[in-house]
Amino acid sequence: MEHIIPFAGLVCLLLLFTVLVGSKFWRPYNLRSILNQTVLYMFGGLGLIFVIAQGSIDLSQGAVLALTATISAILVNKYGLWLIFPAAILTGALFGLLNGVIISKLKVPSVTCTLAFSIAYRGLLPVFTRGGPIYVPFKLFDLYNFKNMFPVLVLLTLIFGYLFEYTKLGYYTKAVGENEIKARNSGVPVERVKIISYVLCGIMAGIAGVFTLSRVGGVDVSIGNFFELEVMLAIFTGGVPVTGGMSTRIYRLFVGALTIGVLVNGLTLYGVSAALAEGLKGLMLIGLVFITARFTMGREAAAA
Amino acid sequence: MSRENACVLKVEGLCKNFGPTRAVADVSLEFRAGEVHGLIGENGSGKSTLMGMVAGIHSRDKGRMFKGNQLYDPESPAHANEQGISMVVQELGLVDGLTVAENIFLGKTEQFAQRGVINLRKMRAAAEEAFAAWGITPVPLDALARSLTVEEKKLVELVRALSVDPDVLILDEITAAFSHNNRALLYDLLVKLRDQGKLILFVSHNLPEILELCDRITVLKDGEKVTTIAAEGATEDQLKRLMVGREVKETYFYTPAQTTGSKPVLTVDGISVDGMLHNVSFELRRGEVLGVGGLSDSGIHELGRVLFGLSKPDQGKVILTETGEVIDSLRKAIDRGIAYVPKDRDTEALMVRATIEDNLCLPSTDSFVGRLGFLSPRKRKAFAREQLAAFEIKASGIRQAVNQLSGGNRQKVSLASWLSRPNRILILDSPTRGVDVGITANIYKLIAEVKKQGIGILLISDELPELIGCSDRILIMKNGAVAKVFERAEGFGEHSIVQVMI
Amino acid sequence: MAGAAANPLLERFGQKRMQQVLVLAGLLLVFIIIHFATGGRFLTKRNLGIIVSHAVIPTFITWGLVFSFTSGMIDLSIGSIVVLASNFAGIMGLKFGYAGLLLGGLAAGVALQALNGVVFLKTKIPPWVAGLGMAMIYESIGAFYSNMAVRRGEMVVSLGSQLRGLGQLPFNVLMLVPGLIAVYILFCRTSIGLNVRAVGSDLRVTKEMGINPNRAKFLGMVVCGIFIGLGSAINESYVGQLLPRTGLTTVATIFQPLTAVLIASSMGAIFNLVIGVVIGTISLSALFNALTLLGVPSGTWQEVVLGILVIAVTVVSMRGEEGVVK
Repeated sequence: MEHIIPFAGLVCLLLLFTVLVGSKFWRPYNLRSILNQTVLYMFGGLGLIFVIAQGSIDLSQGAVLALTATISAILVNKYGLWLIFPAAILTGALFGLLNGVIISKLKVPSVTCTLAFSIAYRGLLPVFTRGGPIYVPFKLFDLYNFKNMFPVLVLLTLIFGYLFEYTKLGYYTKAVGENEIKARNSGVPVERVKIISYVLCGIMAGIAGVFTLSRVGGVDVSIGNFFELEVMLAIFTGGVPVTGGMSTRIYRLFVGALTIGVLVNGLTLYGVSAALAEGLKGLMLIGLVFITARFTMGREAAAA
Repeated sequence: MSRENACVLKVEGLCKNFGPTRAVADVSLEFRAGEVHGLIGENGSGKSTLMGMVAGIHSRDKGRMFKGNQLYDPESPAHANEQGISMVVQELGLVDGLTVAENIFLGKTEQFAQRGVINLRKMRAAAEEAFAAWGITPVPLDALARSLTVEEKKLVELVRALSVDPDVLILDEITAAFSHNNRALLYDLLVKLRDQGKLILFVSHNLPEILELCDRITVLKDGEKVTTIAAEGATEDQLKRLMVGREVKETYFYTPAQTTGSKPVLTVDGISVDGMLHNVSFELRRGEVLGVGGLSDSGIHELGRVLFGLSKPDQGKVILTETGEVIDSLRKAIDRGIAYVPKDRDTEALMVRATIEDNLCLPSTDSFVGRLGFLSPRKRKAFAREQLAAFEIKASGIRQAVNQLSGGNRQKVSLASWLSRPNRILILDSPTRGVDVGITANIYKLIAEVKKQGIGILLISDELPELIGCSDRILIMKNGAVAKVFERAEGFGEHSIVQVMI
Repeated sequence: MAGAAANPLLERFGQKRMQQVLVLAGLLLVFIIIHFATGGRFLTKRNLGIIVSHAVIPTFITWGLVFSFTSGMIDLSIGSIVVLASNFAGIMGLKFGYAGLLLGGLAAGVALQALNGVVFLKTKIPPWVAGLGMAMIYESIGAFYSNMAVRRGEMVVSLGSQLRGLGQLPFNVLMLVPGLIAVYILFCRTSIGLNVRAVGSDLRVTKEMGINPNRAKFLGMVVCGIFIGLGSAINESYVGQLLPRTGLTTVATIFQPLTAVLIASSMGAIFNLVIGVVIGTISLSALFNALTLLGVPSGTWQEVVLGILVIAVTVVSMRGEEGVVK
């Protein structure tokens, strides 16, 4: 039953906008723009889903995206375009490592730690940009194109999907979300699993950063603002429980991301303001998290 | 002691089950005003549960209670307080983040409030007065409960119970934490209260204390009332005999261990954990069941955690005898074939919302890993189905969530997830707790089979009959230290074991 | 007997006083060092006024936060509530003067926090997720209001030169006095505060003492609304006009108060929490002031310092934690 709800939501929205907006909605150009809008969140989600499956959260993904994009932009301008992915992935991984170590070893709640880093990184950003925007070579602009992004998305989905659904890492990650004490008692290296998942989260923020650079053409201080919240929204909208655990599935990220993409796109076409759309997203977040919790709790109320 | 006072509290046919566990079965008692009434019995005999029902902590499954001539039906401890019944529970019952004075009057602060604002001076004065009036050693009233010693905390709980001016005061093993001095003060206080016509229900394992202090004594066993006798003329021996001596109702599938030439697998060398274990040493042999028993605060549960590497001992070592390797981490314990089934099943041993498959496979994950780290779903499923059948777990299939199973079947899932691995040593902590009779027998059978495979088993249990039924040797702990080891060859006298334990 | 018992009592009390003096002396020492490091610009009358002024609004928000944070809730929508409550206070203020300003802020703060309480407790969604959702909704309402005003060819409510006294010296600082008294009474001297503290510390025992935890949490949120509302009123008077923001930019408002609560609770054994909050907010304000004086611009390294401070204080307060932390 709970598997159907996210799909049902998506179908309902598609029907709704078919009625409200009509054929304008189904034009290939519009559909491609929905996909272009959501791909970035899918990238971010491929990393964040590891953290959420553990029942934790990473609110620093947007700030990490901004900082990795900035650092890579600077490096690319200095040493050449080839450096873009290695630089973004490496810096992203380092930021993730820092999160993971502080959260697992020093027992700082993930909400506090990542929120604090988010503020700190945002503070660092102007130090790197020195006030003005940083531009990247024109060549990079071509990257943000469905034809280029789709293969990358497929490749990364295969890798991360494999890790998440078919390896020890994924199984252990979900076990930590179900019951950390049980996981530890069963020999799961809980701290290592936590650190790895934050590293993955940082890497994906880095990769999403590269594509954001390509889309925007450079860096300014507002880059990646609220990226993490959009990603989170996609994952929860897809029906992943906030507490994480075994029922976390990677396909739910895609369903959720598309649902949000369709909602925002449809509302815009219908002429709803961005501010109202935000409010509706908020309502949907609360509503869907509530419904998901009801269905995944099983017969017994989950231990609070 | 021939006061023939009126009956102030009467319970009739009280029953209470926790899941399949029968905690209190059809207990009827009458308590008089102006008596100190002792309650004794082994662990799990139902004393605390019975008193919990009187104090409004537990609901009743069946039965009625009367206070005076009125039907008495407490909905909560606060409600019981309003009707003049208060209790000091066995576990700690203070809010750590509040001060002593606030703890004493938590939920009852209205009496000091004027237009909603609590007069702290009045509240402090009332607390101070309470300490003085009852002659209880004062505790700093503005200190946070967190900063108190266990003894001080118990004193505060006592004052809190007294502060409602109860007709019936229930004390559950309060003296265990008390120094000699405070015990003497408490005894004086109880005598004074009795002379004022109050009823004191006094639960304790300390038999000399019970005999000295009480007017009458009720003995409980397996949730049933054995008898109520006058304290005068009773002896410790007599009480102990009443507490034990039950017939063996269950089958334990016991077969003697092949002890001839059997080598030790685990050597425990002088383990100490601050405040919990003191210099514990023993050996566990191949193919034997070593029972570990004691009162609930004797350190038996902590011992299991230390052996599995979950708690680090302050002193001493756990050594794999054959290789001489020291077990100092959880990882090492698991890798070297030590399995541990913890006592708190749902919080420590299971992922209750996950499927049976996910639960069964977790400890054996490494055995499913193929090339490129591939965790074969087919292998996992086959493994889970096999275990489901082998352990006769009653479920609709391996995809069923564990929280839809009965307590007994949950325990089987927990056991199966460990027993399906190649083990050398098995540590079981209270494996039949909250499990129904049928599955309990099943678990005993499993223990017997595992033993035949030459695995050394450490069976930690609160239940003496279980230890006697299953074990080759029984190690009794008291106050964190090994009190005595009983050999089966010498015969396990329940009486003599209880003697050592209490 | 009595004499022997009185001794530890006295000892503990004296110890606490001693620690209080030590902390304050340490803080003073740091201030003096900063004073000389900034070439004597730190401990001037004017600068101290600025420091305390900047601490007033965060102090009120933090006092509010104490009532929800203590029972384990982090509400990320507080910033968006401040925006709505400030604007409502402004509207009421223009109609009814200072009474309207204060009561308007208060009413909006209480109403929105009560709504949050209902949503958090009824849906049982983790408060930080629900708080994010509510923040989006409140921001949307703010933007809606702003758009309406623009459509009429106006702006959101602006006080102009009226009612600006409350946000300025000395009245803003004077507001701290009744505020401190109110928060002290509510937190330490009423069953609302007592129950919130009890629920946050030990749920099981608190239930056994006959207290309904959900009711306690809800009342805590309502009281939180009072202080958020008052803070908003002062805020409106201070800034004159507050433009609603969207895109969850309001979430960051909670940072400084959160840091202050963490600082206050890590000093919980030495200072009463409500006083610890004042020490926390003033220290933070002083810190940022000192950084500015030292030439560290706000919006960059100051944020970095704030972020690191949050983590450092949390690490200290989580020391020795054995349980599961998510």
